[in-house]
Amino acid sequence: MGTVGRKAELGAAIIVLGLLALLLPWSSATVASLDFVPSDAYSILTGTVYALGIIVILAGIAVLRLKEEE
Amino acid sequence: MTAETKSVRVKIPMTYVVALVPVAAALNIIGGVINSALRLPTFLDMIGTAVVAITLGPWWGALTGVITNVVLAFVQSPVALPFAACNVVGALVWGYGVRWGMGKNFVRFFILNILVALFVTLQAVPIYVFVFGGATGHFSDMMTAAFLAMGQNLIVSVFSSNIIVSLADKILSGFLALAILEALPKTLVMGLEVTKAERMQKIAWIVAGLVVAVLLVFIYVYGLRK
Repeated sequence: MGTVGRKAELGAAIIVLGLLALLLPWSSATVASLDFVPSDAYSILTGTVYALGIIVILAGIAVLRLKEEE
Repeated sequence: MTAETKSVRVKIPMTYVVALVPVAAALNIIGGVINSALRLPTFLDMIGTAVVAITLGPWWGALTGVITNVVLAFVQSPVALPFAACNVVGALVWGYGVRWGMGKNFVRFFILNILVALFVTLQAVPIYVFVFGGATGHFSDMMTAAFLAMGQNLIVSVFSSNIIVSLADKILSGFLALAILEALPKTLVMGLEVTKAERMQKIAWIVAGLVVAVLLVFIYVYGLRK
């Protein structure tokens, strides 16, 4: 196996964040069915998408700041 | 910074990533499961995230955090999935913090752990309040209820209870990660300015022993119940 740099690091992180986004609808529906959760599935999905969106924006900023050294 | 040191920090052997990320995720998952089984006033699901974020990089730490919460969502409770964002924020603050000189000595590293707790709480409070309505079944819910009974509003109550739990958890996780770093290959940490923790290696072994012992007791107790 070779070596990996910042580009691979960010690429892998963004792929996993995408996979997390794909799981959010399932998670929202499952969480909404729990007894102690007062919110509905749409509200839960909205909240989690906002939380994830901040991370994706930070990942984008990190990509933009990536130096062309690799 | 020398050219050799810089090359170590920029390029990491793929073997380290393949070996360390799953092990760190497993450490997080075990910590999270033990924590919820014992109903401790901590989270213990970010020790591996801290190790990976400090050694390999902040976004590898983020990857570890997401893997942790996705697995916890399937094996434990779907409540864990929205909190993946908190694990990612913790990884970013630990990873970038150490790379910006916050790990040079114990005092700076302690402050870094406090910053991690603060940023993770700032990310967690909206999830607690707007997604779960303030309660997730964690130990901190009792503190939230106590703050609400004192007349505070929901956001302040959740923030107050979460920051108390988060401070304890992140300081514990950060220093346990520091102890684990001592056991890692020197080539993995030689490019980083992280304070040494020779004496803490013994504590890490003691903690590891305790964790294994508690795990065995739980397996035994659950085995007897069934």
